[in-house]
Amino acid sequence: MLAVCGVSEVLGGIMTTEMESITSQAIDWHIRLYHGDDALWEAFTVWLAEDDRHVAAYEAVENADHEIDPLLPDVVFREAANDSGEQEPSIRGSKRRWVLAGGALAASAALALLLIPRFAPDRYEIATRAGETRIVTLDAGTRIILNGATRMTFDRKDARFAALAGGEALFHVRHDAANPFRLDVGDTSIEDAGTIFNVVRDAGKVRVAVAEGKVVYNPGKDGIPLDAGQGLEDAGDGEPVRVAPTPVEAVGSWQNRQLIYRGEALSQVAQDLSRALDVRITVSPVIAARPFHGTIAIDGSGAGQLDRLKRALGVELEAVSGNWNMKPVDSGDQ
Amino acid sequence: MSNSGLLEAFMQTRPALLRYLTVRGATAEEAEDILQDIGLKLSTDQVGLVDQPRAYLYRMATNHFLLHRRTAGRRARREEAWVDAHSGASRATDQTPSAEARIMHRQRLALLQRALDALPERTRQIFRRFRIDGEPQRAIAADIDISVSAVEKHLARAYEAVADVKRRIDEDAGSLRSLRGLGGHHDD
Repeated sequence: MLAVCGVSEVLGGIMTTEMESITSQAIDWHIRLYHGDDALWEAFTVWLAEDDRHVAAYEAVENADHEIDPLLPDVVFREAANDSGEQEPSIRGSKRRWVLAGGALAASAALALLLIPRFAPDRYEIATRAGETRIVTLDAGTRIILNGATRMTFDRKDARFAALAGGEALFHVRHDAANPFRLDVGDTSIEDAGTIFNVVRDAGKVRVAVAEGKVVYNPGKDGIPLDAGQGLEDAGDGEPVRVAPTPVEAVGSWQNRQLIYRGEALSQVAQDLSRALDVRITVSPVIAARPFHGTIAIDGSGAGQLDRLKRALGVELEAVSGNWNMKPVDSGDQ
Repeated sequence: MSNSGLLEAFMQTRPALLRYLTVRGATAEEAEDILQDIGLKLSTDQVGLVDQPRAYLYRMATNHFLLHRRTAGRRARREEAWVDAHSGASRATDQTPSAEARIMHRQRLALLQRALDALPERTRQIFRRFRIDGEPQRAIAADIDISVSAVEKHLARAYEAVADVKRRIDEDAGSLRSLRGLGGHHDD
């Protein structure tokens, strides 16, 4: 009896592995047929005709692929970590080995674990060049659009965290009261309450503008709540933080290649333009504080764009060692 | 004009296509219908230059076959629902579809999302480029500098996960149906 049982078990095993191999063949065919040529389709017909199980297995794979069609638009594909993504599998692999080793190796594993935080393997940086933008998707409801010349840090294990080292980004954040989204900006942080907001960090200054929902700047007892249509500027010099109304349509308008100003200083305009264009723009101290009203469309046509900017901003632009410097129009005559 | 070449290829490939459809499980009648549809489409629709005409025709035959099958399946399910409704087994039929479909969509999405999240990052990326962006495996292979067969191995792994999701969906659908059946009796 035992022997018989053994044989049937073995037979059962063979049959499962055979079915598995038919399924994986069917998957291979399905993949290759996506962009298959004449000969491949003819070979496929031959394979199908070989065995009824081939037909059934292929149909199952085809149906599965068809079934996910309506789901795929809603699937979130986590963004590639960074350009050195090659290292990632080895880090993960070695961590898993430590866990499996356990027992005798526990002591050395503990030592290794102590070392891990210093390398912060889950943190990764994404940086953009001037004139380049990039979208980072952290989860189904959280998307961050990086403006040009911006550096940010994210965490593979924590989709509710980001840090802005420098530059500008627009945040579309899914609200989760139990697990708020936190953005570190230098020494302070911003906590969302379900929201679209824009943050700039440039030359020690932090500017925040809220388009939708609410955020708390520097959460804690000195936290400053900001509602939609409000903005804030923190000069980072100990001076009180300034809260001012901000037109909602202006928040993150750079994303549509538009910069909207309601009396902001030319120094800020220069910083914004430097991020958006592939050239560094400085501003002469004489006019740095001059307020600017208007909308600037960035069409990406380089030097020609600067020529139009001159007129729009009412300034002179002169080339100084690869940068463009804004100065008063009449300064040359005097 | 470019269709004349395709039509000619169709005439030559017709017996092979008939055989293909039969092997796929189409009845002789279905296969004839499908081939006639294709012939009609080729003579009326304007098609651009086709690089691999037979592969193109096989793909067309496959799409028509699946369309046939899936509409037939929907019709059968509709009739089943009609019988359910008129035998008093399920009184909620009228208002349930949208709410139920939404819940089902969310559950399926969660299954698929979890399955894809469990894949190695590179496998997931390759799957996205292939399945969503429609990039051929050769282009992906060239871009990330690995062999075509390595790309196909990643894809096979992703599709195994997808097939698994489908199995889970079918199991859930089965239990949902039996739940609904119970609910109907309860109401009575």
